[in-house]
Amino acid sequence: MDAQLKRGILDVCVLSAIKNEDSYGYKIIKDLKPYIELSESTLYTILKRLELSNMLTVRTVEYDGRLRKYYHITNAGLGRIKDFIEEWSEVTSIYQFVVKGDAKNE
Amino acid sequence: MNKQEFLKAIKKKLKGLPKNEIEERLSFYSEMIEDKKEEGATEEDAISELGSVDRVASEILNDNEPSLIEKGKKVLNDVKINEAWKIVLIILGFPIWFSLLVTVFSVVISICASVFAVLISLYAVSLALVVSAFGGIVAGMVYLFSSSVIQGLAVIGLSLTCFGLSILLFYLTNLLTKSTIILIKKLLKRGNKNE
Repeated sequence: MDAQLKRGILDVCVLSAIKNEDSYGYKIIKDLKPYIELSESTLYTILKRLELSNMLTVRTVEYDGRLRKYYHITNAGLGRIKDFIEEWSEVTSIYQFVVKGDAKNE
Repeated sequence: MNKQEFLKAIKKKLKGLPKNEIEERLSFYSEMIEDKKEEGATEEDAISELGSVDRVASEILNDNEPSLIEKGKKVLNDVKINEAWKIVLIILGFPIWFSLLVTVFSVVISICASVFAVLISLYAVSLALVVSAFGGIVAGMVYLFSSSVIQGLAVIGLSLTCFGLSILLFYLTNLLTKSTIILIKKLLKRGNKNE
């Protein structure tokens, strides 16, 4: 996927992964794997960025003798998902337009 | 290479980054490795999934422009500094803003005093006119009864005019006073609301 396009989508992907229940790093990557490839470093950056813009909060939980960080979505994060859905219905119709145009030239 | 060696090697390449960011990143990867092991992978596989030491280190280094943690801390610190500075400036500026406040207050009071002085003068004028009017009527009567009828009538006429004028002036000054009081009340209310 185009790098710039991917960057714009990844924030929302991560937010969606923690939308219905708090999740942790490895689980987020696993859940998103069928849809989009996400490296650990990239995920770290995204989580940091979302935390600084108050779209998620972090808490540390003890698990099996070690510490694990859980990420929780905020109202701002939920709003971001909503905006994404609204914006992308426009993108879908543009996509249809492009596909149609491409089919004609064939 | 085991997990400790892996993380240590990466840490070496991250020299120059802020300490807490290094710690955060390393514990993030450590968590990742442990989770993969839990799912059944060997430590070796878990590590190789992350990439080579060089790869991971350069990913981390390329991510910093300045690092996100520092940006976040800076935002928090800037807010704190602003609040502290505000208080310091208010205290230091006390002589200035206090004197300005006193000056403005005095000017306002002077203006009010002048306005009331004008009103009082106007009342004084209408009083003077009434008194003159009476004086004039008396004088006019004297003229009348000492056969200077025309002068007498003229003086009496003039006096009555003065009397009329004084009544008019009195009435107008009353209106002026009332409006001034209403205006002052309005200004006071607005001033209080803004506080």
